[in-house]
Amino acid sequence: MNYTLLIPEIVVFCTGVLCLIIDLFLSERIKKILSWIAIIGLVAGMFALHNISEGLAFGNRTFIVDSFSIYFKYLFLGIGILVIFSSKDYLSNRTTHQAEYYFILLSVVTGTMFMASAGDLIALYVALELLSIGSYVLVAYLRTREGIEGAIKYLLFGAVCSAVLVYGLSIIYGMTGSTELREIGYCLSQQDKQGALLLGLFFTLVGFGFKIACVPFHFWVPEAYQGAPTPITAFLASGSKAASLAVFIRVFIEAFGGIKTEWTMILIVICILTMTIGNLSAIPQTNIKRLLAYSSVSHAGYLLIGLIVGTNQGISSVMFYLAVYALATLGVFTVVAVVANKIGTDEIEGYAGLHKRAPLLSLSMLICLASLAGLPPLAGFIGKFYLFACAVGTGYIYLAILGFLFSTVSVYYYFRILKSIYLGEASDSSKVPTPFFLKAVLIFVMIGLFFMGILPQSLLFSALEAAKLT
Amino acid sequence: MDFSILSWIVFTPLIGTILILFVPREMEKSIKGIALIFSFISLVLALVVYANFDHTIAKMQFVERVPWILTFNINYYLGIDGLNLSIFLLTTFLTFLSIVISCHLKERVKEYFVLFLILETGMLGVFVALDLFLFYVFWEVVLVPMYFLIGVWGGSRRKYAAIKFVLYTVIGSLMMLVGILWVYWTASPHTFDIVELSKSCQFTKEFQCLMFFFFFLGFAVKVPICPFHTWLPDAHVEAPTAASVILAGVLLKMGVYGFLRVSLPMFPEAAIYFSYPLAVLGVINIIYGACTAMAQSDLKKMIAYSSISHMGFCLISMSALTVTGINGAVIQMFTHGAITGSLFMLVGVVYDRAHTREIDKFGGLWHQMPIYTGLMSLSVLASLGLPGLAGFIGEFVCLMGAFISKLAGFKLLTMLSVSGVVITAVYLLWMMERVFWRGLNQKWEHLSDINKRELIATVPIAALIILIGIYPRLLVDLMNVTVIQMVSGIMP
Repeated sequence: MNYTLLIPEIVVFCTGVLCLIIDLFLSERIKKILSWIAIIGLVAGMFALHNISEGLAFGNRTFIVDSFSIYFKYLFLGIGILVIFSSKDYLSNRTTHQAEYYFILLSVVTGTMFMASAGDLIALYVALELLSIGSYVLVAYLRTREGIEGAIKYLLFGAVCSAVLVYGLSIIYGMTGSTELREIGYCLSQQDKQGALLLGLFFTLVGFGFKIACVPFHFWVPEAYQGAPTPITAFLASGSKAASLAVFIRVFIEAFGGIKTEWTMILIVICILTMTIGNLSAIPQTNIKRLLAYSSVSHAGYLLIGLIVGTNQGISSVMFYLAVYALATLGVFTVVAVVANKIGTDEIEGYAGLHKRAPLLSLSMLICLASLAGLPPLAGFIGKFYLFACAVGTGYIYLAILGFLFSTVSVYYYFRILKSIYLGEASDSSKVPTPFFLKAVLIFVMIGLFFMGILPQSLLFSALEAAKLT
Repeated sequence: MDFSILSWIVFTPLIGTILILFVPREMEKSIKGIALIFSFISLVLALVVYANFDHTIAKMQFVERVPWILTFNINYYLGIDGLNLSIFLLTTFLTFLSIVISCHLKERVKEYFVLFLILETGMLGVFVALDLFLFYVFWEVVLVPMYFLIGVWGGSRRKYAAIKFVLYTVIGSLMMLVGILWVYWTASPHTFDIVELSKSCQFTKEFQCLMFFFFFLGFAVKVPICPFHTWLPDAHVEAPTAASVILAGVLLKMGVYGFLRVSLPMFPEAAIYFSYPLAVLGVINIIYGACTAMAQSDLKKMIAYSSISHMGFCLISMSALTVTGINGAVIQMFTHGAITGSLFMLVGVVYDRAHTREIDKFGGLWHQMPIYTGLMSLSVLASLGLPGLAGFIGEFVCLMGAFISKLAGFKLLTMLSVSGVVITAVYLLWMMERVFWRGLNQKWEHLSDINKRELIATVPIAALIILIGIYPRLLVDLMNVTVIQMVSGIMP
């Protein structure tokens, strides 16, 4: 019973509560301080994480701290910090209810941290719901028409998929008599495969597939991403996806490891569909958030390749890719948020000639989109390289070929944005103001993407270490 | 030499880029000065390498090998041998002169030179990288700067041409990447090291043929080989002058170099198996390129198609797998780069003044621009292979190398290719007549002759063309020993 292992989560959640409480005493003008409190809380969480030892918090596998969960928690805390940075001005221009936003966001981050540590079906599901319900509210937070539409779609779809997930999990429990992932894995490898098992497997896949946003469970993505406040879109695209993949990996490797042949085939089909439909749907989009929504669907497809491979290297490639993908995604959405503050639109034509009005923002967009497209010498290239190298190495050559072909498609629509920014003519040549700290954030993101692209060894090692699930 | 000079040559332009980033965009003269200085430094260092290069041995020289990404046994591995020295030198030379000829640029000067220097780093890196991963990284680095160079400073259809270039190249490169990964996993021990993989001969013939195909897709887009060439006319025409020079003079050579460095040594049996189809494609390039060039009314498009035609010579001689043939391919890479670079620069000169490239709209230009006519005549005569100039050396050695091939069917193909030489002479001389010697079109009375900046850019190349034409040993000696060893590894 080592409750000290829970300190990072406690710190983050208490910061959220603290925001709520302090808000009672703040006047309108200094509400901004809340975001700094939230950031400090997340940084404190990182410190707590730094000194943590490995182990089980409750004596059983409800809450596991191992290198896998620590890697993901660092990722979530980093994502949280960057999301809050881009939320500051975005929120203060649009609403006065900021404390609740930070509270829900920090709770959601706590949820993701619990998800990374969950070794038990119930703990996993509860954490997943903490993430989901918080996300539904955050998507609708600004009460725009689009936001509410997106949130309702997300909520309805999510509720159904959640129910299906629970049904699937209960079938698994019924067949194995345990909710702990390790024991389930052991039981399933002993048993004969029964039809009901496949049903449970399929339902679990539905539930997780929804959260990761892969085809055919992605229909909520365009509206939710487009309607949500841009920092929340960034969080959905990076944090929510990463958390869901962490859970996906744990469940499918630890619990379903013995029945790999059954789920590999289904995953391959889903992966190919996701890469295809995700990339092709992004081509005709004119709204940048919608385009990025479909592109994030396609990235889920690439990530599934790492899961299909299933080896330690495959899992570590997924984790590496998530880190670089999150960094680039947050960079892109930060730029979108700042530009929207000034221009008031998310249409790609609105970005025409941005290079004159905001050179740093344009450069950040260039670097981040090039990383998402997988162009060297940026981190995104190393990520794609690693993923597809694992695919080729385990014999899935056709997946690598398809993945690369669809990456070419993604080059096209990412370059369309860059074309508008760099080759377009601005109708209004006023400067787009960027707060100083956001400039610092964007420079940090760009340097990070270059650094991870040229000297990726440190992150590769961490991912490889973390992929050994204990 | 312990000085790791190759890394310095490759990355000096990048240092120039970083310096330029800190210069305010209004200080255009400083920006141009920095670009000139740093590309000149690369050129000087490359000449130092040339002076210290020992052409009597076939080993890699100036080698730098540092472990880079341990997870995949990737090394930062550079080296020079007979295959890449000449094109490496040419790249530094052409890039410097391209920057000279760009010095009259007025709009978005800072971005232009930043992109140009990044481009130079990428190109130089491709030619000296000896690790497949590093090779691929440099190969792709060239993409984004070229997209912007064409898309921002180009002609009327520049946006279309730029994205076409990018998409074509990316698809090809990604297929090459699949090949790279597959080779890595099949090799034992797993490695990306080009030199190791070339020595080891461990792949089965079927695997070699499959890999040859994947790498072919990547290189074929760049060479370009019909039918993967359709990006070239658009990109070359719409690009600004200096970018066209680099595209034609250097980027096309990356494809041929890829074949010579990667495909032929690593997959020798596949090279023999595919030699005849590859040669046929070469002949198609030569003849189709030449005929299409003849039909063009746009001067730049004509030269673009003539580039396709001339690269066909590289293809046919390379696929012949003889020492003379591969020598010819390397020589033709160098001479064609110089000649086409010169041609595009000179076309840029007249376009800057007349703002048109339509051949039939010109006439009697030699009245107004006699010096220009002289230089253009020199380049055109070199391009059609007049003996005494560099173009003849390239074409002659290529054709001879193809003709003496031990493989079947090459004699016929070589004979067909010679007709390409004739067609080239026809369209080039016809173009010269229409542009320079037909009666003076009154519209062009006011055109000024070539100015100092353009002279500084074009005369050195002209001198090089004459020099290599008269004394080709300067060039051929560099590569002969390396090629002999390379061919002995391929042909039994």
